Amino acid sequence: MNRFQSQDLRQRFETAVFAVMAIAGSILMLFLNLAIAEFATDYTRHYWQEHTQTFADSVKYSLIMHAASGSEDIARHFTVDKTVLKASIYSNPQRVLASAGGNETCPSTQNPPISQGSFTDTPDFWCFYAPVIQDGKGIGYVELVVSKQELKAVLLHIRWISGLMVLAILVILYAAVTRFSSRFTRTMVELSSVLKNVSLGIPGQQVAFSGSADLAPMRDTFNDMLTRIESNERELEQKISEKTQALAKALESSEAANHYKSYIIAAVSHEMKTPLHAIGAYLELTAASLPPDACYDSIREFHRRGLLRVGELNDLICNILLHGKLNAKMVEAAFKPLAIEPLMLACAEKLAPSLERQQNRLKLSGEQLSVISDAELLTHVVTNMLSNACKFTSAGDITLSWWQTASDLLIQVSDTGCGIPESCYDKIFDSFWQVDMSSTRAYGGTGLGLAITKQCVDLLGGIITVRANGAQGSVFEVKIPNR
Amino acid sequence: MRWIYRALLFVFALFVSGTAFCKVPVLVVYPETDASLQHIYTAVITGIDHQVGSTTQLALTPDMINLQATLDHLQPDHIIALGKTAAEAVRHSTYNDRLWVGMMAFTPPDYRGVSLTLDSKRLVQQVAHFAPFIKRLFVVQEARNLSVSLNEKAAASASKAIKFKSANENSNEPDIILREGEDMIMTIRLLGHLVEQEATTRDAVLLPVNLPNDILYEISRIAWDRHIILLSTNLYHLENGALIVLYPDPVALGEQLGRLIAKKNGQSESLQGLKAALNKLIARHLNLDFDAEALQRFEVTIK
Repeated sequence: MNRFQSQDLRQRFETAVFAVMAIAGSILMLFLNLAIAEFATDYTRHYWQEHTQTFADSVKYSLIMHAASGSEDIARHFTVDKTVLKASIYSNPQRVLASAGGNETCPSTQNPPISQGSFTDTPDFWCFYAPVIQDGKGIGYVELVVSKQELKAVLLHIRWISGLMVLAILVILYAAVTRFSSRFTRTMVELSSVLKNVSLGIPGQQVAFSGSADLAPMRDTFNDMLTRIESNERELEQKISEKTQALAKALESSEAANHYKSYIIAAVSHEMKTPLHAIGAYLELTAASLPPDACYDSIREFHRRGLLRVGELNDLICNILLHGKLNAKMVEAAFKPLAIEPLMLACAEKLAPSLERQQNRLKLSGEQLSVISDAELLTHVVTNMLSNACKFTSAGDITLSWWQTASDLLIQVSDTGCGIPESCYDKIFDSFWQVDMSSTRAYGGTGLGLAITKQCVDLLGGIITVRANGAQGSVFEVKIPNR
Repeated sequence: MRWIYRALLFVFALFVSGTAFCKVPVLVVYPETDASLQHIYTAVITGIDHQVGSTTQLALTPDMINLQATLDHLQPDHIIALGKTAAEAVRHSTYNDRLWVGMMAFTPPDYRGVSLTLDSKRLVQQVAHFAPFIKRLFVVQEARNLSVSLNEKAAASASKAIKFKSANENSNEPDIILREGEDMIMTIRLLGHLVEQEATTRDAVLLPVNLPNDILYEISRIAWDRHIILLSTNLYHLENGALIVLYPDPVALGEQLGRLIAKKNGQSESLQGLKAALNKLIARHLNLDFDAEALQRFEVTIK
């Protein structure tokens, strides 16, 4: 089969034709031989049956006369033929009148007296019987034992001759097919060759076969098809090239813009932090220089609020800087043993001004746990989740809880705020995205808190999910694997 | 007017009776055969015509359904049936009593007419006439198919082997020895024994008329080897071993039939008119010389 697969089209055609011819020839020879054997056997039996009847007719007179010597002469005469092994004459009831030839014993026959011609069969010979009848009355019968050897030899001879004839015809046919196969397969071979060249991308492929009336339209159609394919390919390549160039330009522009954006953000943030620190320092100095009189209390309050806003602005700038670093893959996790409860308390403490401003209540629930994680990243995660919850909750309850399973550290922040539409769950972790992004929105912020949270959770190898907190608010849950 | 109707009715009755019955004196019935045998029947009919004037002939065809109706129409006075087929057909009609037969062997009183069975006296006369060198003639026949009838047979029928001398001791007529078998097998055995052992070169053997061809070949071969003269009454035997065949003269047979039915009390007769055929090859083999005068006596000779 592998050899057939490796053959080219013409060789396959020749092989197929030869196989079909060989099978047909074999079947033909088989049936021919069977038919010849059947016919020859029937004919031979018929011949010897007639011969036996002739034998019976020949001995009739001797049998009537009970002439043993005359009968023996006739029997001997019939055994002159070497095919006849034995000739016997029986007078009724089954008495041998004369016999000549060998000692072959025939299988038991029908009960004598034999009334019509018959025979019995053995592997090596036949036993033919014919009655001797006078005036419709059987007066005896004859038995002729005939060898099958001659018939077998003839059949073998016929088998050899027919086999050789079929073989010779097959050889001649195969030679003719081989000789003329190029005519039959030329079209297919040319088509195959052209298709192969087309698949290799060699341009300008055309077929040139000709022949019968139906081949010319096929050739023209095929050539038209090749021309169209080639033309389409050229157009496609041109379009792809143009699109590729446009994409490359766009990518280049995008990268440049991104780089420029990062540069601007970093630069601006840095340039903003410097005067902000100065403003904060001056405010603190001014507040410290105020006399302790009660008439300056309102001024001291203003300074305090100003410092709070400076702190919030500083946090915003820090978030922008952190987002820039995370995007630039400049932040790496540093895992160390870490006590969770102090970290949580510190985060909660940071949230105190916002809680106060929003009139929210914060509840902490958790155990004293020790895990291996990055404290800074974990702080960013908890701080941003708490800040987000506090921003969208007004005069509500915020709960920070943490616990540990066999394999994970789970941190959950739930609030009773405005909540998040379910349709926005897949977008809230995008950078600069907020549910209400209009210029008149009720809640401020950069839209970076949850994006930073997600990026930090990713760095820690965890996942963050969000769901509704019953009828009001949201629940954010972070699952970080233990190390 | 009434007498006119009566006259018309009388004329009509005469016309009807004239077309319904056609009375013929002698009707000859024979089987339809091919041309090779037709001339024999024609010759017999010619002989009959010589004696009784014109006859009416009826050829029996295999598809003839109702012979009775035909006979009723013809109303023959005498019916001569030629051959066994015609005889049997007429015998089963109501005209059985008017039947005469010819060209077949029969034994009275089964039929009346001229039997093909030879009268022994006639036989010895013919043998003496055609083959005077034969001194002894063995007649072998099957009891139910006689070719020779002997008047003396009844007297010595117990032995089934009858020998009698000619009435004229000084004549050339041979002695006849009759051998009859009960069936063909017995007949063949008698014949075989005779040809193989008993007969001499001076004897002749009259073959059974219905001897099977394959046995005829064997008998002829033995007779040829032993120089035994074979005679027969079957023309087929002439080319297959018989020296002389005595066969009926059809015209004479017809004339004999014609004479017989003309007699007031005619019943049955043996065949009288005989012809002879000679096989000259066998004659040469047997060293028998037939001079020109002797040869002229034979109707047919074959080489």
